[in-house]
Amino acid sequence: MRTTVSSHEKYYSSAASEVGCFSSGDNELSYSCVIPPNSGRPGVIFVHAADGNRLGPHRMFVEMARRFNRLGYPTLRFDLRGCGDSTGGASDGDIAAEVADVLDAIRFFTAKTGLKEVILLGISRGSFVCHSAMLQHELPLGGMILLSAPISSGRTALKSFGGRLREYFCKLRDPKLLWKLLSGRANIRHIWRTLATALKLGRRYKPPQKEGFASRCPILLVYGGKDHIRAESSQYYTAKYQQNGLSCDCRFVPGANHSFFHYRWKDQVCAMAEQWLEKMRSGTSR
Amino acid sequence: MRYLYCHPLFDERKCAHRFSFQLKNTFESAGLTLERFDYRGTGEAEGEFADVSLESLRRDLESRAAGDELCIVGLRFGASLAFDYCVRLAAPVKALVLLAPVIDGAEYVDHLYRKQRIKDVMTGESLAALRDEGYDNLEGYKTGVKFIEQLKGLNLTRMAGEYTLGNSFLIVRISNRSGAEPTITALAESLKGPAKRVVVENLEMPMFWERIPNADYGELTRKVLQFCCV
Repeated sequence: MRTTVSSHEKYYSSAASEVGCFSSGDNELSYSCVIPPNSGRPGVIFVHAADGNRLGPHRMFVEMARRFNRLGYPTLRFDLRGCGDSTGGASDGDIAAEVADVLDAIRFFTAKTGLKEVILLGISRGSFVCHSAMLQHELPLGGMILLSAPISSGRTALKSFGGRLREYFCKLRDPKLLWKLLSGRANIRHIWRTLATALKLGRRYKPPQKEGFASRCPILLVYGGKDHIRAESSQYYTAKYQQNGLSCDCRFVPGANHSFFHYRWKDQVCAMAEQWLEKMRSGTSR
Repeated sequence: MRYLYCHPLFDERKCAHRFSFQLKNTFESAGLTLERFDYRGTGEAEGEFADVSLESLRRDLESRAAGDELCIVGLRFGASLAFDYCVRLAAPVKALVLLAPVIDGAEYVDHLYRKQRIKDVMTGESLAALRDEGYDNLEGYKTGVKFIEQLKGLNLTRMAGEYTLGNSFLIVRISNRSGAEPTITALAESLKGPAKRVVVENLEMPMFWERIPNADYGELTRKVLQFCCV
């Protein structure tokens, strides 16, 4: 596996982190990695959402990684193919391609650090990718933290569609945005696309058919209390993990939406993840 | 010649990242290096967003931009900051590329608050209770109220009145709709006297800094490169 760290990338990165590329198939995936000295803690690999990048929503991954680093956890944030600074085209809904990227990220990170176990941390589609990877592949997983992990159903699609409609109605109550629509300056094509995408949620995250897990580890699920996918999705994942005898902890951030759009919510998610990691570590070391 | 790229702020930074990558690649294919950097507290850089201020942004740009023979490409607030740097310090910048610049800071802040209010209404939460003294939540970022006031005070058209240098400017209006934008036209007009060259381009393409679309940035990156190479 080839790793490159150019002088430009060094310039672009912060002093404490290493920025470079690792290979995944024909693509070069860009990463940012921090390895605190002699921590003895497992590494955390961040998997971003659809069309996102390794910064995470509202720089959430950067902030979380820094907090984990301070506790001594090595971290790897990387851009999936076609995203951020990674080469290739976007996976365009191809979960298998994104799972392949995650597998290569695990291989790269364990080889680089010599760690025996890693923790996968995903958000939204990234969580679904982590779940799929765990189902299908034997991986050196010490745990998984799945934020806003989605699952498709007719009900979640309707809720998502209803949520989007409500958002547009909210916008219409804003005189400036109403005028934008009336004066023909609104992007109608985009509005239709957004609504259609919401409806497609009924198919996008179909529950995998495979029974049983190729890898086994404890899981932390975190949802926003006002995320419209939380009820069906949290029930599905909790039941799935429990049926397979996996330890699963499901928590909600009161009032929060799908992407935790408030700095206080981000703090709460970080704190939950930190506590869970530390609790798991003390349990393991006992 | 050095080529420097100024990122936008808030989640526009994240959404426009792919554009900056493709712009960097376009420059590389022409044998040029586009230097990208993050201001302290933003993107990959050290620091907390809560500590970001207009002074910290200016300091970061000044430390990167030191030296002659410089061309700065900025997107959204990154363009405004580049313009501010050029006018305020009478900096020796050969060329400035302003992509969809934030011309009126007050309007920009109003836009950010409108977006935030819609999210707040959607969750139905009383988020005012979640605020810390001296800070506000903008797009999920803990933002200093003092910084918000500083953003409001920034106005490129007003600053253009103080502009006396002979730089070259490319100002690009990017919108889903075709046609000129009066504020950009006004900015260009006010620069035309002292500036060496002012080129205005109107591009019809998605406003990619708003969300991450599967956009083709080819035309935009080519235009930027073409201008920078003249």
